[in-house]
Amino acid sequence: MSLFKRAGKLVTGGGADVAKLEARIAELEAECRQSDAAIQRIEKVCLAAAAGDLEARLIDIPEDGPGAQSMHALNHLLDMTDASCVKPAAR
Amino acid sequence: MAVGAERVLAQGDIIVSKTDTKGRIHYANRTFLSIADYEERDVLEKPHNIIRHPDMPRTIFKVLWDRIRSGNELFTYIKNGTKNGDYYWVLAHVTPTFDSNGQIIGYHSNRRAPNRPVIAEMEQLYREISNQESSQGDRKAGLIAGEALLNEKLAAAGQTIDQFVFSFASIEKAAA
Repeated sequence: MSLFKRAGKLVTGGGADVAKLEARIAELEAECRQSDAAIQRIEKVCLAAAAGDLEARLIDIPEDGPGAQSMHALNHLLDMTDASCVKPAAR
Repeated sequence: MAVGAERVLAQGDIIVSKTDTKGRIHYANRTFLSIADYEERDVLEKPHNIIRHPDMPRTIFKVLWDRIRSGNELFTYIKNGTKNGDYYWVLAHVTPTFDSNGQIIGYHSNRRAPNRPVIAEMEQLYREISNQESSQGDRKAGLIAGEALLNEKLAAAGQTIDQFVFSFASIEKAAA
């Protein structure tokens, strides 16, 4: 199946369902935007932590969205780093 | 009276929360939410005592707050309650968080699982302190009496509260 984009519309050479393809593309584009947003949030927290702000965390993680597991993993990394930095003072 | 079931924090798991200076939660990790049966939106901006269990003597939280408000840390055993009335025991390490000027901007708590023999000891101690608190005419007098009893017990053992809590470290190690 050949697939071209002409004047913003999909044209297929093999009789594919253009409407379905367009819907699928829109879906993938939305997912990409969510992924981009997730990556930006992760980057922001990484930069804050790198600058010494170990308080930085991600809250309100969209659980079924792309990047949710990565965001939890980043929180966990920071929690564990924090836990090992905050050593009990000698008494 | 209905008694909740015990939940056990897995060895190696860590419950983390962060609060502002008033004790309102602004971060709770996934382990916190899953053991206590809360969604993040249920706990954000809520006072940390949302997970307080009625068996806990108020005295312990007074000691905790006195300690962290003055810029110090505290290790203490705590029985926490879940949303549906179950409970779980933790060894909590609570620390103030400072800004670059040395001002307290919030508090941080890491909680790990204590071992079983420690829990039995704490149940006993906390029951005694709670009874002492409730034997008084009002809440304020109860808190004074509770703290007096705790101090009496520590003095009898010749220990600070830190030494007392760390004295259980040997049990922790032996059981590990």
